[in-house]
Amino acid sequence: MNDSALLHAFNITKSYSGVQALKGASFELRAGEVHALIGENGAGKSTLIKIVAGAAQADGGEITLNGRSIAHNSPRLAKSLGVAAIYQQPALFPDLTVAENIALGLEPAGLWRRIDWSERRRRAAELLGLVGARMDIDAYAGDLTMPQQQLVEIARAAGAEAKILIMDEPTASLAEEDAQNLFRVIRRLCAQGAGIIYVSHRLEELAVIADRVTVLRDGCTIETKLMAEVNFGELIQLMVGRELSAVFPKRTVELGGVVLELRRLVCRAAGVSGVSLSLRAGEILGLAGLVGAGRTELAGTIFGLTPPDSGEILLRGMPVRITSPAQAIACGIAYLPEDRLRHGVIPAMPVSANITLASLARLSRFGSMDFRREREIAVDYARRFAIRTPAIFARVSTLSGGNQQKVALSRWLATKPSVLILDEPTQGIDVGAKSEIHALMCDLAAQGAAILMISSELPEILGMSDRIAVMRGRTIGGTLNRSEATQAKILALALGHRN
Amino acid sequence: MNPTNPQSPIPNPQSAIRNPQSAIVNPQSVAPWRDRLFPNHEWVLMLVLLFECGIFSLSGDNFLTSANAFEVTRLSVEIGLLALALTPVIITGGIDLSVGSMVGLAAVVLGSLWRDAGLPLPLAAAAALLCGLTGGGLNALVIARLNFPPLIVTLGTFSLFRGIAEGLTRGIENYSGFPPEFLFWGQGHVGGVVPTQLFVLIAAIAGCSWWVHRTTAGRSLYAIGHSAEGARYAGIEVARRLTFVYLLSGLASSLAAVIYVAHLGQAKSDAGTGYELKTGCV
Repeated sequence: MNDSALLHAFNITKSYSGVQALKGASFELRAGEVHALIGENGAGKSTLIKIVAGAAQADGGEITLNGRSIAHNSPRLAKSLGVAAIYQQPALFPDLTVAENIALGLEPAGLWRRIDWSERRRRAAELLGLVGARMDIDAYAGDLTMPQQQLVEIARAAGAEAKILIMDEPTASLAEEDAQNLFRVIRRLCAQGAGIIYVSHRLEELAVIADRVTVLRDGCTIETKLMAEVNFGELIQLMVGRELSAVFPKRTVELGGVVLELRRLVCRAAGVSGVSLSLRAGEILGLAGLVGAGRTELAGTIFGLTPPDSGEILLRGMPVRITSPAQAIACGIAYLPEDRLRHGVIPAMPVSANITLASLARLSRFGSMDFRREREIAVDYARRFAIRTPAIFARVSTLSGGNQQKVALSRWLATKPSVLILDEPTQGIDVGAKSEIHALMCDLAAQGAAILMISSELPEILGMSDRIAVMRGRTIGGTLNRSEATQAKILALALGHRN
Repeated sequence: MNPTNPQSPIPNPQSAIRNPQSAIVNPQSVAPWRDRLFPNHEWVLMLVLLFECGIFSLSGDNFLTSANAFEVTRLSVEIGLLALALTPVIITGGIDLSVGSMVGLAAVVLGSLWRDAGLPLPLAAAAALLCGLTGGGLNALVIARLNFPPLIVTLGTFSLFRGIAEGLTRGIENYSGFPPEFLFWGQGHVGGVVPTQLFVLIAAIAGCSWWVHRTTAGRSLYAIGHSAEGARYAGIEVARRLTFVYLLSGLASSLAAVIYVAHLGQAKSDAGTGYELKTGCV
């Protein structure tokens, strides 16, 4: 065992109601390193993280934290030993301010303790400064963007003097620039002697940030390697246990007529200013840009969430007025939103109800609901997309991220749309599910659907799009054809560089 | 370390892709009957109730008689109607605290229009129902269109409706002397034993449960309750549904008021006091 090891987990086993989530996983974290933990969804990454953070108890195996052997871990014990976890969905209190959120759990508790507001605000500003974040400490956490919320969580972890920082998909919702900023923060924490467990599906960024990588598959540790000594193909093969082409399943499709056209679309409330675009049947138009460039806002304006103030939306050449999602759906427009759990699915409802939610009108027979038809539709989609669920009446919250996304996508395909807007369709889902969704998109395009794909992942944009529109400053900064597009050109357009 | 374990209870994810049939269970399968009938372990309450009935039957002489059973149901019709009105509201994640006050207001409107304004009783009853719709409409407007929290809004109308009722009667007026054909709706029997209003309640229960459980509109109510934002993104017209739900709640409250007046033979401004909490429990 290495002396500088902050964490040593050996041969951990864990089962949930009969399902063996971990069957002997081992993991070691040294001070000052970023140790990536990768594997497909269901490989056991989350379970291992939970056990380290004390949110779950291991059935067997040994854990040593900071040189201390742990028999029964708990969130409290883990925290006192310097473990902090930052999960995919930031867990801040939306109605408390930044300073209050940071203070939670850092300041001593007590029923009658008086709050020293100036000290609290000073401390919050200091911690935010430490992680290099600049934001209003009196802003409500709910008003912050995802990257900002994440930085608040990291600041809180820094305040707790966390030695072991667990980050689960930290860049899932970040644009390139914010991700770079996060990496700077991570390096700073490492330089101060912290160890980082970094869970991510994005192999490209691991090459940038990680020192070592451990691959989990089916609840077992497959291998730990130095990041500098492996290539992506090798990692992917270790993860899936087979050869998987990292190539996108893009097919050449005969393009049809223009289905959707936007003319100088403006929505002041959402901040969309003068967007003109056209989208043809069978085409996949990639919409690239930094977070905040107005891509999601544009999608919301087309879909009727924030109706436009001026400009025109034309469907097959006919101007349409869309003022609500219901109207957009009636026009044949579907929108797969970015925030899967808040907008994409209703987690507490069954798979079947989620799939049919946007096409309920098709299930109505004289006002009564056709339950048999609903089940047929749900089973059909579950089979076609290989949605792995114990049953179609199981709650969507019990599914893995990739399968939740397939449910969300099924919901929209059930409306038989002619225009499909996909907002970060493969965000935070595993490699296998990702390539399945890519294949599905190609099938849809081949069947004549017009697809507008928003993505912050440049390889995905480059690999899937027929044409690429780059947004900057809430309008289209430029358009590139598939043949001419490169990462550098897209970034240049997104940042507004000329050349 | 051997990565592949033939005994693995976790199916290999890849096999599901190659053979999609294995990914999903038997399409005919549905949830176990007990979970469908009692999704929240309501059977425990049923057991407690049966146990209670058992004790009362043993200790009292007149408890286990059909006459008593029907009398109990007569009392529960007004509460039952309000509970039904609240059901869709609560499904959408809201609350309507004003139902009890609406019973008082509608009762007073009914009484005063009939006695003081000299309107025929059916017309006065219709006016009482209209009053319920108006009150529900006020709640709906503020909640669904202006997006105020239902708890605050209906706490306000809870005071408002009762206040208007008190004001109209100065708190002392008590309308009584209703004709027997009206009282029949609250005191009469059909076939000698079954209280008249039980049929109203049964019709309302049937209608409500069909609407909530077996229509697409009912499904959208559940979606709103779980996540109003999520429902909106799925194209559900949230404001429209909420408006309807609060209108219905007002209407059902006033219907309960009419039956309440027919039952007690008097209309006072304090009718339905405390019903909002009782029905919330039901």
